[in-house]
Amino acid sequence: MIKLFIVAAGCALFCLSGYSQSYIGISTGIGRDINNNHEAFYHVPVTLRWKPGWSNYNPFVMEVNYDIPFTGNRNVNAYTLNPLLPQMVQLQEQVRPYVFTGSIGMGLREIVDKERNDLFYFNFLMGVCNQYFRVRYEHYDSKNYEVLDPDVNVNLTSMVFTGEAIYKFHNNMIVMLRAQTPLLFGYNGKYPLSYTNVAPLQLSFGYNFYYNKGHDDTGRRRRRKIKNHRNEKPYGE
Amino acid sequence: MGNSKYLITGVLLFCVLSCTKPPRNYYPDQDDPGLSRLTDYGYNIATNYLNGVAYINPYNDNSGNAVPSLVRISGNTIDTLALAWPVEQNVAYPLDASYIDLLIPVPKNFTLNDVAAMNGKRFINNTSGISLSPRYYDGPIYGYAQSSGTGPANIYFVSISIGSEGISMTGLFNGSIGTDTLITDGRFDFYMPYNYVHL
Repeated sequence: MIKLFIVAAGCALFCLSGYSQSYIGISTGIGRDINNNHEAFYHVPVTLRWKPGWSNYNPFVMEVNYDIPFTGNRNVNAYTLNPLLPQMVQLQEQVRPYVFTGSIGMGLREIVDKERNDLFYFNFLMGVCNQYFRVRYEHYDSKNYEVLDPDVNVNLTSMVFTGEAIYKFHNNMIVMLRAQTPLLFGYNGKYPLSYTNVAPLQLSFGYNFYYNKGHDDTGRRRRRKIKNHRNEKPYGE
Repeated sequence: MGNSKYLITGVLLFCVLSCTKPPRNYYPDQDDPGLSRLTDYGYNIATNYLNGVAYINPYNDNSGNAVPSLVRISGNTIDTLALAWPVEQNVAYPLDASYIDLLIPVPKNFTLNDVAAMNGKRFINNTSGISLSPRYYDGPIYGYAQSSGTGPANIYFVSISIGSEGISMTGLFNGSIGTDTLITDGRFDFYMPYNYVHL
């Protein structure tokens, strides 16, 4: 039954995917983590996407995404036994989550307007994501003070799913809304951390470098041909 | 057939439950090798350096981490509050073991409310003491502490909370006994059921 479902889903994806146009796209913008409830992380995502032009109907997309993190801050307390020092100080904990994702997937659907300038893509991808959380404490005198319930560096790698809605304008420019699931197999340590793995929601602007344009210009060429045909003066005039 | 299904399920459940060991809850501190992080999760973990060697409270497969005791010892004019727990070297096969006692002078009418009032208080060494006493070590090799005696200590009760079934305590400590025993970087995160508390 499950196999049948997978085959049916695969067929549906292929059926729904439209003409593909080969391109290499790059985009960047702003990302917000939607998996950490009390303290969200923000990123500057850099996405490199490649849609190879193996055939007119090729739906495959490959993508690498790197999230350059802003620092997430929280205040923590540190304590000392040294009678010459204040018994408690407040420190700023800085957490930087570095997220790298490599994905492969397919374009599920394309919507084209009359002018064929505005175009929506819907990409669905599956990939492997590495999330490295680097923790540091600002002005931390680790010889004299101990942080209560400290966070630690964590390096996690697991599978993720990604959905993208891409709006194309001015031929090559794109606006992309990209959502990624949290790691399917995230942190399984028993030590409690103040943060959990990241699920970025990103809004990006970018540029697609099209090549092998013949694959996708069939409609445009057809319309141009019809237009030219209409403009042609009848014989004898 | 139906009964045997329940029987098999019950046996499997029993096996799974009986095989589950209590957690050690030892999470190493990146800055202090061999010591645990300072936590307040009631992990019943206590670590310290004894002359530069990392020590920890022992672990048992059945009962988990050794639970400390909080006892009021009667004196002539004042009493002494003793927070005591066993320690051994934080290695795979520890050779020696001993008891650490943190000692704080308290009035005769000391109660559980006074324990709660120690939350956030730091006791500097002219008001508190530490003692290290040998204990019989029930391991593959019998051993005793490197030294024993009593000396001045610094104790900081970072957090204390009194619950309905026990007391949670997190703190820091250090001290010295004579000139040859130095206890440094001590930290504890205890949860004591009330049968371990005698005030």
